[in-house]
Order: sequence, then C-alpha cells, then structure tokens
Amino acid sequence: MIKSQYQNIIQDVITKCQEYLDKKISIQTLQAYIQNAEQQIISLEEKKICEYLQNIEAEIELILFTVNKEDQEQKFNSLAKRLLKKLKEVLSN
Amino acid sequence: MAQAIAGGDAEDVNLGSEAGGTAAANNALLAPLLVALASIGAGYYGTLFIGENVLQLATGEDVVVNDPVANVLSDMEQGAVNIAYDNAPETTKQVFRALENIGSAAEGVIIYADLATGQNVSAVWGDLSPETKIRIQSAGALVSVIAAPTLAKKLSNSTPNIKPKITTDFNIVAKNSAGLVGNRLPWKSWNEYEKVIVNSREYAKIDDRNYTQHAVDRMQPSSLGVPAGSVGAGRNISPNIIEHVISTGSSRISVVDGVERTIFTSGNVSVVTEDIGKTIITILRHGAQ
Repeated sequence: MIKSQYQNIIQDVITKCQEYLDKKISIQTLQAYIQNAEQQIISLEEKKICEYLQNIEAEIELILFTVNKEDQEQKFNSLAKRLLKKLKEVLSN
Repeated sequence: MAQAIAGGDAEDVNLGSEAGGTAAANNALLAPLLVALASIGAGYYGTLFIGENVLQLATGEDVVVNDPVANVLSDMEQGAVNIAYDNAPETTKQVFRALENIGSAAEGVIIYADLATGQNVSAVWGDLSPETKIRIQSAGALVSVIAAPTLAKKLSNSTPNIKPKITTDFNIVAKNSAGLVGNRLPWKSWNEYEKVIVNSREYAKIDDRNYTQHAVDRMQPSSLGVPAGSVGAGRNISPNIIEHVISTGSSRISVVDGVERTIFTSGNVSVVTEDIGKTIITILRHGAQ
C-alpha cells in the first residue's frame, strides 16, 4: 500500500476531529476543516479519501438542517468517531 | 493559457473542469467526460457536465447538443474543448500517450495537480520539460486537457479505447437533454441577487424560488474561495442544477423542530427546501457513493 501524500492534511483533520469530540471546537469548524482538506486532496490516486471527506461534509450539512437540535449532538459525535477511525486507518496504511 | 485557446474566461474553463470532475465521479466505470464549449465570435459560453445520464448547463447559457461528441467537435471552428478524464489512471496514461503520438500535441493545454503546491496548474504540454512530463505521468496527476476542437477531435480519434465510451456517454446525454436546456438562470453571488423579505427573513429571489444566503454561498464556484461570512468554499452548483434536482430528483420529507423540509436528490446533489421546493435552505454535494 502506498502512503498517502496528504498525510499532513489528514493529520490536521484527525486533530480537529479529536478537538470536536473534546468539545473544543464546533461542528461547523470541523465541517470547514473537512471541506478544506477535501479540496486540497486532488491526486487521482487518492480520490477515494477525497470523496469520503466530501460525503462526511455533506452528512454534517444534512444533519444540521434536517435533524432536530436535541438529536444532532449524538449524530455528530458518532460521525466524528467514524471519521477519526477511518482517517487513522488511512494514515496507518 | 486556457484563455489563449478559448478566447474566453480561463477561470470559467477551470471551473467547468472542477464541476465536471465531481459530476463525472458518479460513474466510475465510464471514462467521465466534461466538455466546456466557448466561442469567441458568438460570445457564448456553456459548460456541459455529465452524470447519471443527465446534461446540465452550469452557466445557464443555451447550448443545444443533439449529436455525438465527434459531430459537436466537427461543427466547432473556434473555442475550446475541455476534456476531463477523472477517476481513471489508465485513461490518464492513454491520454498522455495520445498527446505524444499526435503531431500537434504541443498545442494542448493540460491542467494537472501540482504536487508541490497542491493546486491545479495549467500549462501548454509542449512547454513542459521532459522531467515535468514524466513526473506528471508517473503521479497520474492529469486533471484535464483543454484543446482546440481540431486537437480534441484528434485526441478522441487517437484513443480508440476511450472514444466508444465517450460517444456512448454523450449519446445518452444528448438523448436525455431535451427539456433541460434553454432556460437560463443567473448564477451570481448573494449581493448581486434581487432580494425578497418573507416572514422578516431576507432571501435571494431566483426565478420562482427564494434562496437563503447560506444556500447561495454554498452554490458559489469553489474557485472563488470562501464567500464573506461563510465557513467554506462553494460547491459549484448553479441555479439550473437546483431546478433540475427539484424537478427530476427523488424526494423525502423531514420535520425539523416542527418545520417540514423536503430534501430533493439527483445524482450527487441534494437540495434541502421548505414549502416543497419554494424556499431553498441549503445544498449538498456528495462524493461518489
């Protein structure tokens, strides 16, 4: 398996994910970091991770606008944990 | 450099490439194709991008396409054709080989991912050093090729493994395009739209729909950066695409804090609305599923 050439970008998102789970940043801030990362990952070979981040960003937006406020935090936490796990797998490959 | 060939707005051409790449990702089995047409004389510019058998006009300009891609290219004497081969490293290699094989490869402008800066860069193929060419090839970093129609046609003809897919794909698009073209909606920034006040809230009025500022910001071309007051760059979604998603997409209802919202989805775009599409709340662009 070839190492990602975007390790620093992925590591930044991992850090922000953890900061979100530690309640240091808002979900909107994490969303912005995810979108920024996704737009920097332009290599064709790493399209999958780019698309994964794009889906996560879209999922956050969907939750923000289609889920009752009191149910959002649980969904965001679950999503952030899923993203964290996935990105750690990418870096460990 | 794209401008030198297109005689139009190079940023628009690059924008078309980005939008097409995303839409094309809907179908990884086909060599996804984006064709951006620009004409110097007629002054029109249109971006056709393809996904799930749909032809959409990103800029809203009227460009009617009823023929296979080769015929379209034959009819074009001026302008530029932007061919984006995405998600297909093997196709990328074929395009490079084709560029080298055809006599006029040096005329072609390529857009490639510069690994040093992470940005898309355009360059005339013939101006690149052999080392740079090899580096781009080995990295599979080609994003798209912008070429004069004659060169694009040569390129299409010289890549027999790709051409049938392109032709088929384009035929499908042409067959399904009736009714999607011809109605131009303005694609602008929030400040440029006419505003309406509904229940003390301000909306941008586009055709018969009211758009929140959040929705308008998320629709902006990503190449323009982050709209003022927004947290992220736009998603390259024009009002024409919104119209298409609402009129042809699937829909589902979600009640959020007592307010009913309808979510329309077509391809990789979803639109969250109130009043069954009358008010656009936000838009989403998904990655390939």
